[in-house]
Amino acid sequence: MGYDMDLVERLMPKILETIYSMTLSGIQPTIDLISKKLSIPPLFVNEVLKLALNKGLISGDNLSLTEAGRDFVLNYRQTFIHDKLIHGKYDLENISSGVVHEHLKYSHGLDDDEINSLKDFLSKFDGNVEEAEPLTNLRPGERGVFMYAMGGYGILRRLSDMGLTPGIELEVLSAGPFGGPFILRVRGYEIVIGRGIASRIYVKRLK
Amino acid sequence: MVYMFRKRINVALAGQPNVGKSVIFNNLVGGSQIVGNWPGKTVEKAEGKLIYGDYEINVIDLPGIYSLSTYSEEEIIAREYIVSAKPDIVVNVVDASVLERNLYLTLQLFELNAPLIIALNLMDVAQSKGLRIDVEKLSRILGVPVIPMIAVTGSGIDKLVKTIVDVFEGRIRLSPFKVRYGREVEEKVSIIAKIVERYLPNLCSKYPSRWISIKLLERDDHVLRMVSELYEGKVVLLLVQEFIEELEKIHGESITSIISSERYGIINRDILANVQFIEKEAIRLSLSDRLNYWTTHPIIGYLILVLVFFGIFYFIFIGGSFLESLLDYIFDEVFMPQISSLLSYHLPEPLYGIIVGGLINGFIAVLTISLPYILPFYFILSILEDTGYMPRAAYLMDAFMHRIGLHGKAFLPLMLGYGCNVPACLGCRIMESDREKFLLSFLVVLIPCSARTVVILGIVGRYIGLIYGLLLYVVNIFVVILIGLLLNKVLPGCPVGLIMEMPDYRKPFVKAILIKTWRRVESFLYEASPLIVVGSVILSLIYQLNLVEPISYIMSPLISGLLGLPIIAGFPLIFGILRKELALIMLEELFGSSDLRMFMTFKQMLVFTITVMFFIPCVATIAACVREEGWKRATLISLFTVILSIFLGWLTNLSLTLIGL
Repeated sequence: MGYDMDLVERLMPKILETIYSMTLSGIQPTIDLISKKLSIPPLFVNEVLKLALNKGLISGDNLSLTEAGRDFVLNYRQTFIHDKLIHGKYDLENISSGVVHEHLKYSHGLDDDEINSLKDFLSKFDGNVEEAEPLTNLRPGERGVFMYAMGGYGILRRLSDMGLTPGIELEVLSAGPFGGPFILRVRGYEIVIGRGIASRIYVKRLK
Repeated sequence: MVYMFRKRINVALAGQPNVGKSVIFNNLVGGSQIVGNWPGKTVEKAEGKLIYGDYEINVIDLPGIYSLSTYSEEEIIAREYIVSAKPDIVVNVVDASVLERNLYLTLQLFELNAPLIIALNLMDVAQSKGLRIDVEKLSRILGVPVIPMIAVTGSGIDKLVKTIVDVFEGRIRLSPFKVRYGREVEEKVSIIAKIVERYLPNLCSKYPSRWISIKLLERDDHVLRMVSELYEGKVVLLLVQEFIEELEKIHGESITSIISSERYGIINRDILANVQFIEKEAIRLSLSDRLNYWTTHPIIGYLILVLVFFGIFYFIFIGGSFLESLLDYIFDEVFMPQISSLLSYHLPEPLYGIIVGGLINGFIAVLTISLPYILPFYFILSILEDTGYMPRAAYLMDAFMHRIGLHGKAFLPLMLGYGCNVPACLGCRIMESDREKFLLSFLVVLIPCSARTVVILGIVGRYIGLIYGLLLYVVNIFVVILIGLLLNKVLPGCPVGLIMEMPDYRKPFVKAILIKTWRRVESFLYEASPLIVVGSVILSLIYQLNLVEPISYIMSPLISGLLGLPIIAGFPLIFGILRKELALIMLEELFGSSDLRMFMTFKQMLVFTITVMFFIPCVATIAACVREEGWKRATLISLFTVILSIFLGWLTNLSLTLIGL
């Protein structure tokens, strides 16, 4: 085959991720659907899937993920969140799989509670994880849908008591000067959220 | 003789912050209120009563809370009060202009089986936002009376009182709204409720079983702890854990989010959709919106902030010195001559010295020195709080506060500190984490309070120049920031972020502000005056017993050696612990003159003032600190300030000597 094996390996997580999110939202993944969603030629998708089958990440005909494939995707999601949302860049090779938990814990000071809630969220999140971005990316006047807040139960409960529940639309009114807090409009009133917490809140930007 | 037996009705006011709850409270009970703390807690408790016909209505103002979870001490206090004191009526004050979020608390009050009346306040604001609320329908859906109100004008208060009596007498029957969650959650709730009823009957006699189940599902710390302490509770918890995992799997969200989302769903679908209509989008920006825009503006906002606080200090000093000279005149010219001539006639000399020099002078010191500055300070503070400027200041200062490991809310206690360290210390409780409370307590006691201002302006300001006095404030701010940075590095744990509501601006209401101001001044006088009077008496005793010189002699190595001050100045420094302004008053008394220039050089004045500025907090502040932080930490903080002040005094002395002053 004429395809660059390196490229195939690199696209594997994206494709498996797509299969995973399709399965979660109840869509039976097919090569055509995947190809359309990612705008990658069907033949190429086929190539990647062959490799995945060889590696035991997917099983047989109906394109369902095996246990190992699931782990692979979850690990990809974690790494993705970690790289893009915390370090602000995306480079999969940066961190080898399996050490993400330790890395989040020791290098970012997240406690087990927070990491587990992040993992929880990642394994259940039925959208495409690549759409998530931290609230701090939004400029005043932009709107987004609240997806997830990384934090202990205390912070989560406080946010939802204040009306910030998953799926709710929010508008950034002001992004604090000098690294200050954000003012959001949620459910018709305003709340102030410090930048530290805002950077751990993930939203889907609305155009 | 006819005895009147009044029927007693116990009423609790519950509601979210910034809904005008305290205005309603003041309107209801007027001057009869008593303010204290909840037993063993540092949360303010206000109660009062009103007589209405044959009824004596006792009203208790519960702390303002967003929810009945266990995020803060206030939330626990409120729900425990409703559960254990079982008030006859709970008046839920609701902001008509932010109905959605306010009903979130209302639903939880329903779940607690509280006998509710809804006071639908701020109807005028809702109207100006273009919202129309079908009050009658809301009342029908919720199954309880809903009283539309504009509390600041007193509108609706009479109706509220009448309704309270009607409900109490059963003339109005309550058929409270039933909160029903989605099928999956509801299923689990009813299973857990049945099990809880069967196995934990004692707990169910206190709390509604359905409420326990919901709180268990929500992983409420407090309820989890209560259940896990019971023998049968452990089994219940296992089941609950299993249910939580199942629900989280189905919904793909954490259980907290699931239940909150469902509550908001119920509010929107079952309640608001039927009763709240948007008549017209508010096209024109309201005054509140425009004020909000400018006061949170990245440039203008800071200018306003500086102006506001400059204005406050100006007002406090001008107002304060006016009040001070007025009171001085009254006591010195009118009362004192008469009192002393009366007493000197009847009392032998040493006793006369103690009573007049100690007791009466101490009492006068409270009224003429502390009160004039504390009164305008609290007045201004109440205006800032009631209008809603404080959250804006917190917003603007958040980034800077983060540098020293705190967040925007810490700005309030720090500002309070300039009036008096006592409320500042007590105000540290608004911080959420223990670490922040501790850090903030360290810093607030370093802020020059109005009593220290008396010393700063009375010595440096008066003899060296006002500009130098103000310069000392700048020095103080630098030291505070430095200490903050240092502590933030040293203390374990990491800083907590800010989550806060930004309420609309409100028109301040004179009566409410005056009541609030008076309540605070009253409690200050209550706490501080005994200390000042006792200190003053001890002082005159030491005087009468000729102990001044020996004590000064013992301290001389420190005072004259390190700080280069006159030996006698050590004594006022120590007595400043009682009240900071005593340091100045005693200095003048000991020198026997109110012109310090005859006894001290400018350098000595500066060193003395700087030492007083950072020296150990006054007794009242230490007491407040003990209450908030415990003995250990209060001692640590006090010791730290002693070392810091002597170090800074020594440093000033040394550097001024080196440059040849």
